[in-house]
Amino acid sequence: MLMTIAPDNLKNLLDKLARDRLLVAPSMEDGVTRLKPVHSAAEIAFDYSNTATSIKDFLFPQSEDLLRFVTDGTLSIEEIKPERAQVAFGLRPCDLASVALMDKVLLGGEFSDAHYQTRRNNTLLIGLACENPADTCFCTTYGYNPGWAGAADVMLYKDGDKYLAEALTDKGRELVGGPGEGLFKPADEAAGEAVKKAYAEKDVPFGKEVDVQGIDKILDGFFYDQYWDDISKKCIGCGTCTYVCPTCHCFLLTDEARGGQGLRFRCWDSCMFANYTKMASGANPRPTKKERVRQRFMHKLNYYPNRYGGSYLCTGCGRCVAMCPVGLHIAGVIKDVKGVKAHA
Amino acid sequence: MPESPLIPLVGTIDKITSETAASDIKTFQVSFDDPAVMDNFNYQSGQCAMLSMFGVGESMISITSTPTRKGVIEFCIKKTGRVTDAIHEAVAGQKLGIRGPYGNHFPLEMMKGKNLLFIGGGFALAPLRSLINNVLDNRKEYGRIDIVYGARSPGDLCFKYELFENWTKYENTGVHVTVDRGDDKWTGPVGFVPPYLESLNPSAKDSVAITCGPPIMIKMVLQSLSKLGFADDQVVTTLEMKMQCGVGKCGRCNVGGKYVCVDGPVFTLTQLKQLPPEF
Repeated sequence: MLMTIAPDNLKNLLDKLARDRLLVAPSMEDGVTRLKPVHSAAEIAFDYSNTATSIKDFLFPQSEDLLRFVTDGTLSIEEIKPERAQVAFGLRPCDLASVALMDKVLLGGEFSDAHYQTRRNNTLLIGLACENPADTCFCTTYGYNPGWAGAADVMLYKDGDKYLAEALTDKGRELVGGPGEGLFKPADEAAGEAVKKAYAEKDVPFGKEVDVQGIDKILDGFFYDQYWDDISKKCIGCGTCTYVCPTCHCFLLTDEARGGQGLRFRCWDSCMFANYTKMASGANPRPTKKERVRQRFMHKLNYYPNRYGGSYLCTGCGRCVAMCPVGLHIAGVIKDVKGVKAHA
Repeated sequence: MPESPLIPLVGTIDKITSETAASDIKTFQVSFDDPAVMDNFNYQSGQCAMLSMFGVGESMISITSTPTRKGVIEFCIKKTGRVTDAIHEAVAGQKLGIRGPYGNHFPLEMMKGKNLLFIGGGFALAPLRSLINNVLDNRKEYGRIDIVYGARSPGDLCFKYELFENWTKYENTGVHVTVDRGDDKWTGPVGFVPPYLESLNPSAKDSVAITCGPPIMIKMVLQSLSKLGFADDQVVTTLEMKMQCGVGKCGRCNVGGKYVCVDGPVFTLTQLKQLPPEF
């Protein structure tokens, strides 16, 4: 069912939610709009193209404690669980799409990642459709669009002086009927559908330039291409692409201990780092930037779709396009590889 | 039981056996402290487990004991880095964390009724030992068994009791040991494993070859096996990669589209040839 909510009522709702859970929302600091914890709606930026950081920071945080241990002669282990409820507001369609891709890795297969699952369960996702896609945005390349609701519990679409709202999950419906009671009004279904359609069909200029069709198959035979030698030369191995990426999920487990007790935590790692695959023996199967750069793009455009059935491990959020210091990003690689292939 | 597959269970190192003259390779027999967990720990030959030394870290280690001898879990570990250094410093009775078992296993079904040729080098006999004892415990189900093994020197040979006293007692089973360099007491063959293997001239007919060893040995052994007439699907080996999670999430142990932790570590040469040479 479609509803509407006035901007003041939306702010009231967010203020109310911030009282009993962590509210995460776009907020500007030093000229950069990030997704970050805020205390109230007053700190929220409502006018932004996309946030510099993604929902990944809150579902799969950069550093996360897994267990506590005591080793004073004996050994005891206590699992740490991420109990805190959180609500994330203002998520763009690219981030809402990324959650489904992360779910496949972290929740799929024989083993399910319990910490991620708990955070998914504890987090309410409120999406906000894109009015003005940035010139780095290319979500449409992958079949997403500026109105894509993906994993959203509630999706919002700015419509003139109000927001069109749709609750998409039980969690979303509980929000509308619970804390949101009296703040939402029923919307005219036909008019609402027209608004949604307009967002879905909104122009994403950069997306038109990047055609990913068939690249997974092309890359089947591209592993040995000279291309990887050429493009990897300019990579400086900073790892920015992997950190800002909403779908890069590689992590490291590390212990910190003092005086017979300590913590085991996981933190993001990056396939761009030289030590990433270096073994204790000194052997390193990906010893140079060439292998590491190739790994990242092969993973996103070939290994992942082959393993998980179809989707690429990229949603066209454009963060790496905007932030790679040397302009080496996935949109460029897609264009290049298809170009090389076309001229071969 | 912990909810997360990344949380280890508490175990104890029950027994430590030094394998080599330099004591740089030791076999650790461990058990879970919870008897119910110990009872339910079902693994297969070729699988691995993640061992934790808390405050230091974790390492993925192949299980060297055989599931046919229930109640015994052993890991043969070379002192190589921070975690294995810490394990080597441990004494019997010390606690550690264990999670697993992980990965696929040696294809026993495909080996039934076949002649088996094991080729190992150095402490990479560890994963083979699980399978060797497994098939010897079911000796009648297999044809001839030959074990070809080499190390740098007599002092570097692992599992000497089994090599020279136990395995040789089984019928229709040959144990062939070579060293790169002998010493005053060594009267056996001297030389690298691949030429030694070729000199033994094992038949490829109705046979499966299973090989583990240092990368350079594997590379040469694969060439020797090809010369001896072994087809790619008659050759089985294991891969090792840097691992963190062991459950297909952390992203680093992939070779092409395969994760060694869940899709491996055991691969036939046919499967290996479909992967990029990034291991």
